[in-house]
Amino acid sequence: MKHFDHINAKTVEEATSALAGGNAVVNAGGTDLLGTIRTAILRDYPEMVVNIKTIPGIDEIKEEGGMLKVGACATLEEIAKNETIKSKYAALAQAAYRTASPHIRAAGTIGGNICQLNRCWYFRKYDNRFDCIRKGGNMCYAMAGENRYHSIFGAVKACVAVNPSDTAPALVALNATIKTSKRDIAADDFWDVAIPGSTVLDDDEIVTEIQIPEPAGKSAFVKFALRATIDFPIVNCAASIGNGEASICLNAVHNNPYRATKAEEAIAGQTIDEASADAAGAAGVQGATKLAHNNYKIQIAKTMIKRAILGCK
Amino acid sequence: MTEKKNNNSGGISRREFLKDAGLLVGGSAIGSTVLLAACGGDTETVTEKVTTTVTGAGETITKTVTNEVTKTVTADGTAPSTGLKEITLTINGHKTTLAVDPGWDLKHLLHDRLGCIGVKDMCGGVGACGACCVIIDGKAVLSCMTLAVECDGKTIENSEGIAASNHPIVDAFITNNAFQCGYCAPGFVVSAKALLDQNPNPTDDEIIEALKGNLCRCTSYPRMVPAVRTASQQLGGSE
Amino acid sequence: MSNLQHNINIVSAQIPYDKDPHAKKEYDWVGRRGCRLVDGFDKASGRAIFPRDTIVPGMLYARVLSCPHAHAVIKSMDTSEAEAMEGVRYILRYDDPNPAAGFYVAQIGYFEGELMGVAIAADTEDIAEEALRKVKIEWQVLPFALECEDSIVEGMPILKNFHAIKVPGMPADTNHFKGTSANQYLTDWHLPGDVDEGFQNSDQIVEFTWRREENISAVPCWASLAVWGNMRNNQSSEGPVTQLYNYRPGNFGAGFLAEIIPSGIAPMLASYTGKNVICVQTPRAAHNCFCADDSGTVKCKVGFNSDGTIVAVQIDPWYFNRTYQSGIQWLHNSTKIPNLGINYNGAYVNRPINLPNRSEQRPNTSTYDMVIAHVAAALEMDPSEVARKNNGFEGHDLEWLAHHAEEHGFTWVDSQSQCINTAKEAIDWDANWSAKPGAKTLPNGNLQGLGFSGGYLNWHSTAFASDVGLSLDSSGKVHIISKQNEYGSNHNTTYCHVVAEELGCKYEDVHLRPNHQYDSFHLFDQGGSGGCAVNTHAVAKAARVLKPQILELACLEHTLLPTNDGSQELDGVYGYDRWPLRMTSLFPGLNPEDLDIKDSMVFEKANPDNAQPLALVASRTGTVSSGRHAGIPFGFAFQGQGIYGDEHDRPEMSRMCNMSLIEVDPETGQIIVKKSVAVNDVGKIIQPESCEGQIYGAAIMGIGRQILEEAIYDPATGVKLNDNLIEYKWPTLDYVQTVEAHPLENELGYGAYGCTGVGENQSDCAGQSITSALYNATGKWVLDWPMTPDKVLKALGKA
Repeated sequence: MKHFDHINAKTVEEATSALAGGNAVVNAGGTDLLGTIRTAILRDYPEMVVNIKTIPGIDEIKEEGGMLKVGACATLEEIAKNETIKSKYAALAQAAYRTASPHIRAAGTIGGNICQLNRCWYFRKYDNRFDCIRKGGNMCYAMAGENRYHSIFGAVKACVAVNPSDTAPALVALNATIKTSKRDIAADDFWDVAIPGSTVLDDDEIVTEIQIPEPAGKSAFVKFALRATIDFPIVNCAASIGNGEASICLNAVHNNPYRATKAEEAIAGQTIDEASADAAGAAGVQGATKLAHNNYKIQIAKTMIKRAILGCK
Repeated sequence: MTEKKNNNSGGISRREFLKDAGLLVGGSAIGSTVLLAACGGDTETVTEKVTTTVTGAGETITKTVTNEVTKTVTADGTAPSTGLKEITLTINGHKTTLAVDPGWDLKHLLHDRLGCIGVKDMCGGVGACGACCVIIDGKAVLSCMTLAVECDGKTIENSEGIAASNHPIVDAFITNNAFQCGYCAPGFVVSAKALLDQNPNPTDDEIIEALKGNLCRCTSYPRMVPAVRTASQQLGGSE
Repeated sequence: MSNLQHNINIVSAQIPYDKDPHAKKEYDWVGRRGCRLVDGFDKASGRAIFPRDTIVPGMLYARVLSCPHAHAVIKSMDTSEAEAMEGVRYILRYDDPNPAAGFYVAQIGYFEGELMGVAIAADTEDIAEEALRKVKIEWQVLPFALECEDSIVEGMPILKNFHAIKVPGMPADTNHFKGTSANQYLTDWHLPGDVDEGFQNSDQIVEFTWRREENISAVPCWASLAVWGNMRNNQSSEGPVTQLYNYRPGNFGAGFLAEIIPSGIAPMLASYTGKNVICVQTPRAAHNCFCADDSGTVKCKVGFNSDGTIVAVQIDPWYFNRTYQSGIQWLHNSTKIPNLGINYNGAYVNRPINLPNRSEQRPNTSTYDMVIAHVAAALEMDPSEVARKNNGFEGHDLEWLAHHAEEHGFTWVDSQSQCINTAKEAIDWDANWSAKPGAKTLPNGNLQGLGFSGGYLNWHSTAFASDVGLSLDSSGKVHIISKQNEYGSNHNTTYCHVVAEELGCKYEDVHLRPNHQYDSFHLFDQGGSGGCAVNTHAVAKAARVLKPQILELACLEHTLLPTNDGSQELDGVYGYDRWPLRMTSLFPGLNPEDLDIKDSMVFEKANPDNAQPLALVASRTGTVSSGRHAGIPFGFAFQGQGIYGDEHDRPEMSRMCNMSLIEVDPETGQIIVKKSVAVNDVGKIIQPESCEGQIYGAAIMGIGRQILEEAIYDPATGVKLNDNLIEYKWPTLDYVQTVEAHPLENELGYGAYGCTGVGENQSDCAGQSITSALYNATGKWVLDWPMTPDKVLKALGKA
């Protein structure tokens, strides 16, 4: 790759002030960032890369005061293998485990995973071939084009790309709070397809920690992709059910992780079985609208809701 | 069209880079032939001695190669852009200090600059194939998705280092015929070795899990799990 | 007669119609397991040098522009900004005065991702790439067509780039070609019978259409490499590179593919810059520039009787670009169907060239397998029974085939029945089969299905020819001397088996000595199936030339050198007992005919205890300071194999089949391949591990192509959207849960010892076995391939 400047931040402040300097990007695991730079998909080439892995303690995982605290640079592998997370926050462990490939998980971080850019193939085509609306251009090429992997819940800002994160729906379902260098953000409010980003983060703001209250009941994560490894989800779903409440979040079906509120209402307080889960799945995809090539995703989303719920049994 | 005769090598000073030209990697001395080749250049000629240790054969061949060397000036005669960072890292057991551009990913450093050709490129750097994976501080990760500059202080091992250390996984891949064209094989060897380091007695499912990020177009997959099992037995991991 | 004509006559004289007379009952090395791969350590350690790994002193890296449009011409180009970049050494433009430039970096691009327009040589790959991004181009974007029907309409420009070669008789003003595939099969042959009459005489008729989306045969490691001053192709360049830099080009990739890669770019840049230049085909370019054969749409009509006998088949294919095979050949070559018809059509479209890479028979296998599967489905029969019922050759039945076999020295075996029986046992067909589709729902809710596909095993009769040298060095090692290309089949090891067998030396004593000099011998480079058939013959023949020379050497009584005055023998002086000038026979009193070799020991046939090591015999070669000399034993052989594909009167007798057990998740449309059994009657196994590796590897590849792999284009721009290995999905390690390779050895092939080729066959047929299994599981045909979940759910009425 072409030259850029680089710093190893030692503190959060050092990182954010470097980012405030303009045209700088954060690097954590690198597994999304370096691909985007190398294939030159974005309009701008970064002048500086800010490594935040060097901030002491930013990769810690601990449980404190009935709450799981995961540092932004904890790797997906560490999360997937952590016994506490596996037993009490199963949806997160399963989501981390199903992300990409073992190599990516060994380097990729939770912070990076929730901040990654979308995988729309128009957006990702080499050398910014399609200067689409998410990059500040004026149209969405997928809307009328090849959209088999795109949104089934409409467009945001005329873009039908989907959020590809596996851990994001788990964090929403587990009612996580995302702590940044500036503020605390509820997972529900964290994603917003600002142009060109994926989150509500300011340019000089970084995720520092994710906090998850211990769930009352069980949680689960399921994923559908063409291959069991390497692939991004076609649809995934996380559910957390307990105390008569249900929290269910789909992803890869919309620009942002999609809270399946109708499915939550349908299953809350119900006995979990094949029939109730099936009904909740059907409820969850009410209002879904197909594009030219993605009708099948509605059926798969319905199935993913059902299976995530059954996973909480 | 114009033919160009400028002498800069992509903003890096060759001499700066070559400060540790005798660096040993994978039992093969990464002589300056490789470094020079990677940098190009065409103004003055020097003779350099390059030592190559042929791993596996146990013999050392010393040969002398005449190389061309470039002076480190840019087209307008000024000093090359700085911005290089000095890092110290241990590659296949050999500690060394290098000056790297922050734009270099670890694959570029190892393969193109240091001649560790066991670091292969199959997917063009999109993180999809595992052919370039190396072990950094005990974990198998993709060198294409790692910045060289962020490897300061780290310990790196690739397939050539694993082969040079006579780790049984290399022989197990050969005796199990676990590859055909062989392009993906080093990546699989690295993934498997990282697994065996952590878990000398893995189950078949654990082996599959560890190798799942590597692609093989000849699809020699069915023999890879038995190969890792063989190595595990040789390591005494299997009861 | 000219020399050229003479050579051609030699080729035709070589075409084998009979079984290899050198086939034996028992073999020492052919078929032996556990022989260590000759290049195993290099490959596993990563030290094997592939083109991408080539590093020579002072080398420049070249990169070529990828056409950003599906069809466009360069109106103007401004390279000034790129020229100003540090580290840029030469910019080769389409309008370079050298007329060759316009060929390699053309002004016009015919598909998105095509390498064209401009190539840049720079100090590093990154600089070359960055410089390309700085080239400003004004494009005239032309209309494009991704489908045949869009390509043959009025107003569509004629596509006449270098790979869109007009077939004989094809008008110059159309993109529509008809009548013949690339191998001229249809013009050279007459299909039997009269299909219309056949349909009238059939009990039942089924009609169906399938479509295969373009697959990509990407191989990640090709390159063109040039040394300064050498303007020849990349293979020729290997010579000097090898010699100068001790570079081992055994893994150069396939030679014939180099013609398609813009291989002239590196030599041109090398000559302009006076430096070594490597032009690596990047993984992205590999993805963009080739597609596998048989993408397109095929309409098919089959007439058959209620017992499963097929009476007539007519196919109407519309292929993208021109396929290598027609689609009808397998029905012709491996059945007794009396009436066959084809109306071959296609059109040049703005997609990559069809590269018949492990897919060249797929037009034929698709037809064969779909015909069998649909007849079986209509009659609720076991498809393998339908295949068996129609087995034959060019309308002839099995009896005819058996007669032919015996006449030509083969021992007749009904290969297809054996393949089917083997596969059935391995997959437990009887326990899993249900003739009624959609009948098996498993406790997990999935639908279970069994599928069959098959056909004949070919690639022992390719058009290719090989020559090879074999020498015995003075340490007793035997060297196979030839240009080499690694194509992923461990062929190097295979040929060592053959030489060991024929010479009687140990496998470990045989080596490959890749020789890439201009004038070197040339083993047909793929080393795949075609290579296996033709190269094994060549290597075996050379060994049979070499062996008598070795035995003669063992018996050699050396003529003493005369002294200066010619009067005195030197025997006994200067302590020459260690280096005797007098070379006496190692087997005094015996003649070469009395000797043989086994396990690298030369021995007396009548008295095997009287033996000497091959190494001792070998040490008698060459010239040494003592003045003795014996010629270096050297064997040369040539083998030409035939016309591409197959000839009349040389029927295919070896068969293969695939049986796959799948589950279909009816809620997601996912196909889970539980087990795939691949049976190939390979004739004779030479290198067992590689043979099996080729079979199961091909099966997984074929399955991947049928379920996962396709090129996806933006309909508005014709830009390929998935030119990377994340979105173009190869099968992963856990994709096919169990795959079994079962090579059978009926010695019915025309290769050495009766062998056939092996690799491509399963990759061509295994996929259709999954289509057949999906029908068996669900009662629905998914004939739009690949069979992705969207299509499966649609067939199930759920999307």
